[in-house]
Amino acid sequence: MIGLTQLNVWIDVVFTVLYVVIVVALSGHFLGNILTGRAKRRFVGWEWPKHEGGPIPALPKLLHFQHVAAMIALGVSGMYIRFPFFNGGRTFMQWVHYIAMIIVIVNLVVRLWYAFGSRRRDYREFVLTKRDITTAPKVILYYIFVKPSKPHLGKYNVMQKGTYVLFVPLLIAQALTGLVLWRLQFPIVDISLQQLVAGIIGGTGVWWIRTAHYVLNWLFIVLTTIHVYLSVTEDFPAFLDFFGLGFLDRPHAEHDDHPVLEGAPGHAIPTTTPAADQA
Amino acid sequence: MTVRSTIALIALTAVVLLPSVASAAPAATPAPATAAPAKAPKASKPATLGYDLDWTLPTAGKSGCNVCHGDSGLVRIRQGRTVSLFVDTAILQESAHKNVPCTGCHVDFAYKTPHDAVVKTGQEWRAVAKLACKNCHKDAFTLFSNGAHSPAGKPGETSSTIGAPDSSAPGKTRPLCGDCHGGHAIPSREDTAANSAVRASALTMCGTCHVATSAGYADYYHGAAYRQGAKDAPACWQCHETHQTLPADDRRSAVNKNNLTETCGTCHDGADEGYVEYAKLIHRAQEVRAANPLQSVVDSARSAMQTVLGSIRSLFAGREVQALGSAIASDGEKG
Repeated sequence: MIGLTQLNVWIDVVFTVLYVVIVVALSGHFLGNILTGRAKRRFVGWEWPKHEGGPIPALPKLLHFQHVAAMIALGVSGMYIRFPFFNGGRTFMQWVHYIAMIIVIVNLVVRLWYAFGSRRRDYREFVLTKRDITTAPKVILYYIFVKPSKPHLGKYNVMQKGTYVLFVPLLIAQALTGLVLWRLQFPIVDISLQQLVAGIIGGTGVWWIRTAHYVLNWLFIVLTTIHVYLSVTEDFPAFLDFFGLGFLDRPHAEHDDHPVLEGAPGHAIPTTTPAADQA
Repeated sequence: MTVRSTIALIALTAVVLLPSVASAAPAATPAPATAAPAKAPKASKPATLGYDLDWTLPTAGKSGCNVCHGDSGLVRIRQGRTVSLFVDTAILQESAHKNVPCTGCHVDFAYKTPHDAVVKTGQEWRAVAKLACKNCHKDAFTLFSNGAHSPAGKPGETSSTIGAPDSSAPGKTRPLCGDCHGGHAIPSREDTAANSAVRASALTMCGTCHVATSAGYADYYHGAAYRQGAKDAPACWQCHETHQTLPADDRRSAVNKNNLTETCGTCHDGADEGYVEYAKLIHRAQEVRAANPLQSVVDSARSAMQTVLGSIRSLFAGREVQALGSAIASDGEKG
């Protein structure tokens, strides 16, 4: 059986290799975009998917922006804690990690409230339907350049929905494992969460939690890299809009990549107006 | 005035003047190192010239010694090398031992110059000074004597000249107190900056003999962090003990497998037998990484990336040099 010592190294090596493979694959995919003319149509001809539902409301944009900043801070500081790659700054980086962690947790709670408890209840946009599952192969065929267009069933396609929904349990797991590793000594009680948990599950248990936290960190890095690549190459205006750097087109009932499926069962026809979104 | 009165007057004058002669000595010490001239100091006496002083003034303090050793140019030629015998008073005054007279450590000092007995024996006087700590720091010396660095050696050993356990420094003598703690600049406990500097120098201090072991101290949370100045990453002695340092196979050693849970537990709450398995990685991270079959792929990718980045950098550097050359040339034409 592989010991903790070897496992530490295996995780580093496997994920480093995997990340290199993903970067190479995404570069190859972009080359495919160039060869098939998709890149030229989009970035030169500025032909992007039509957007439904109007402008993205301010709150999810703000939450997304904060989330991006905090996740970058968490990734960099977390990697520094494991691989100190510059002199000094360990205490600073630990505090960056702690503060970013609190921002991400608060963000997650607010976003979940926005999805399920607010007036908008936009969780419907992320729910995987039966149609999503049955049309998934066609979406994949589009991404690997076999088909020229993908079925359009709503604001997000099946792969987007799957990824965004997956992010929620991953974030919860990452937050919980991170809290267990938190070595900050709380005043008055004079104990850290790590000490508290170590007293219950022992040092080896804490070590496994640390490993899970590190593996989840890599999953975030991998998924976020793919997410950023596809956001830029598939819908650059939406990407810019999310950061307040551009504006989406007006609500559009038609969509250039789903002529056949228009009005088909499971196709979520937008019911909100821009005014309602802004409210 | 009678003869008796004259003698009494002279004796009284001598008694009054003698301490002032002694107290005049510090005035002869040079300015602190910060005020030292930038040029290499010139020896006040030729290095090869013997001293014909009989320095027997009963001054217990440093003033007496520093009449000569406070001279930054005091050197001797020893085995063809110029050796400085200068003791920086400013450093000494900042140290933990600022109130200890020179002879408190240099207990073998002969009240004669040029200290013939010690000069002839070369290193011997250093050994005496480096072990003189035991006269005050008895507890530390007892622990030290029980450890692997004990000057008495292990039972059955006949020579104190033995290499470090990792055999990377064959022929090195066992360290004496002064080899790790230094001499005149030992910081006081209150001097946190100096103590931090000592802590930061652990790999140099222990690595002088334990070359391979120190070089291997490069795992994620201990060695790599320590090398980058992390305050919560341990210096050598935090795991291996400060004075009673023992090899890992010694049952009394803090890093013996039977004691690891306790040793690791000082920082890692709940450290148990499974947890301390990580300890293998602390000094062998590079070895374990090298043994991983996929590591070569990572190394190749890294070196390829470094090559590409290096080429890009040199390309831009070349252009900058070219641009600088053109600018200089155009300036020259204008001038």
